[in-house]
Amino acid sequence: MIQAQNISYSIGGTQILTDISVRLCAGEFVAVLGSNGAGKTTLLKSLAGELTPEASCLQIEGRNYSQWTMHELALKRAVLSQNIDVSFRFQVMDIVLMGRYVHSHGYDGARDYEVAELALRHTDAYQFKDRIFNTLSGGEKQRVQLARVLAQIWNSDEKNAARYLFLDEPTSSLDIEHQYGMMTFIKRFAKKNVGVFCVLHDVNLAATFADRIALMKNGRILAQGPTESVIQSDLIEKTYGIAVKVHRGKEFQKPFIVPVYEEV
Amino acid sequence: MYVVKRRKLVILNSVFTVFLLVVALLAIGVGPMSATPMEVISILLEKIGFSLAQFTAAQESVILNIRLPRILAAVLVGASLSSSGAALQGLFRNPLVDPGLIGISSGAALAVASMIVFGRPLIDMLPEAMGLYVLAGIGFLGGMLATLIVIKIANFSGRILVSNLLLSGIAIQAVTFAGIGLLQFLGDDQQLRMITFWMLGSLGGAMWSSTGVLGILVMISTIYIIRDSKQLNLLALGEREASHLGLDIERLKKRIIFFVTLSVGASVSVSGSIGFIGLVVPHLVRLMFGADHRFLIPISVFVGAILLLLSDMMARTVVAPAELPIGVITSLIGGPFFIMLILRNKKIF
Repeated sequence: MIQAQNISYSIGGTQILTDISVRLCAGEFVAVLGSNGAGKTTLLKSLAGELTPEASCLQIEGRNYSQWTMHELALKRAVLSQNIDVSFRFQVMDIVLMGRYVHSHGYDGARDYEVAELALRHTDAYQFKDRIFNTLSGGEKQRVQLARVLAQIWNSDEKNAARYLFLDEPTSSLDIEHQYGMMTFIKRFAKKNVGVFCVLHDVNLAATFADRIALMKNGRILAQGPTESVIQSDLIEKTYGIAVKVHRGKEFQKPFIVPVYEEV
Repeated sequence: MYVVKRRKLVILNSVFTVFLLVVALLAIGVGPMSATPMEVISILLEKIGFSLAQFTAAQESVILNIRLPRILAAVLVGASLSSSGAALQGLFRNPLVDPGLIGISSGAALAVASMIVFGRPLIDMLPEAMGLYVLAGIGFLGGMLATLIVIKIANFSGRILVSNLLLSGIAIQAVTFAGIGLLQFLGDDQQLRMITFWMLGSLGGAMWSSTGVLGILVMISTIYIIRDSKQLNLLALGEREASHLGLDIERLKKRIIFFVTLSVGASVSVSGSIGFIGLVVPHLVRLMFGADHRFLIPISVFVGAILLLLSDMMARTVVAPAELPIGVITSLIGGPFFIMLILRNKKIF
């Protein structure tokens, strides 16, 4: 479990996170929603151990981040950031194999190739495996980068030890088919004892797949809890500042929202 | 599938080793005192007790005392510049970087120019060979000092900011070039010639003792640089992304800069600054074998060594009995060749 209590973070006098407490358990899918600049990415970086915010408690598996070596952490958690560009003309397969470096010494082994291929298949990017990464489209790059991140924590040495996956807007360049495909797979991946912490912009995507949702505004958590309890029109309105209508019903699998706006 | 890559590297290394040996063998024999490859082999084998073909005592003396250290120096300098160029391009994630950029060559040039202009009495006092050592040592120290200043400027509370490293490198380069210009203005004609010759580079000063020191420094540095190939691959994803994958970036930066400075500092102090090899060779190798640093760096070692051997051969022979500065040849051929690469493959990065 990753546990954070009373995190605050500021850069040069600007308060970015204020008194946030969250936890992420292995096996669950937590989505974070909020308007631009609400502090979602900073929260993700803090929980992933990349930043060191002020906190009364910030631990992964009961130990502070400073007590982990970078190698140990890399086996425990993977991060897909918003930067998906790669310098130099690497092949797609090379990129995905980089996710396996932490597992191998010297050259990539048979197991590393096996995992890299599986990860590429699950993100529907296997067909590009011999292409030069920089020649792919934005959405294709995003799928390959996801495959790399998945390959990193695919199977830990112990059978199904707890692992954590941080995704910062993983669907931002994807078409609707791949958005749902990716989320379905990530949800399935979470079931293998992986805690998923995912920043999203699409409320309906979050409502469809997340076990729990956290709503952020101005560096604070506005509400967090099981998806059903958070997808409420007043909470969404407070978060984004626009009126929405929440639809629920037997004919829909999950609640979904529709913005209410004046006819132009 | 996975064995293929490793085997490919072994095969490539063997092929390039043979290629390098062949070129070296030809290069040793070329010059005013010529020798066929067979004669060269005989001279080398004679030393360990085999005799094959006939050769003259003069051939033996020239080849063992003059050509061989020079050829080895060419191999070492070429290997050092191109592997350092490849490593620095990876570290900066910028294909336009060359080893001169972090101040090594320009710092060395300024130190040597100062020594030529102001330290003349000291050099004149020493025997000629000693004078060359003093210059090489001063150049080495100057390069180290300039790089140290560049790193200090780019250091931001314990982290080296790569963009600042690049910018401060350019600034230091500008300052040192101004200093060199001033020294050229102050110096007399002979000093001016010495400075110019040193700045354009030459392997004419290579001797067994200096080549030995160069060999040790370049080999140690190159081994360490090659060991970091995988880490440099990760850096291509971005600094943050690489650290998520367990890479301690700050330690990697310090390691690479240290060994590159050691290697290039030693090269520059033996040969003067030789342009373009460190920039062009990594591009050429990337174009042929891809961006994976596990291929790029070792193969750059070979390609750099071979190209510098050929350039030195031209430098020695084109205007014989005089010699062209080798930097003129590498830039004269390297520049147009690089333009051709850009025109033919619009996207070489």
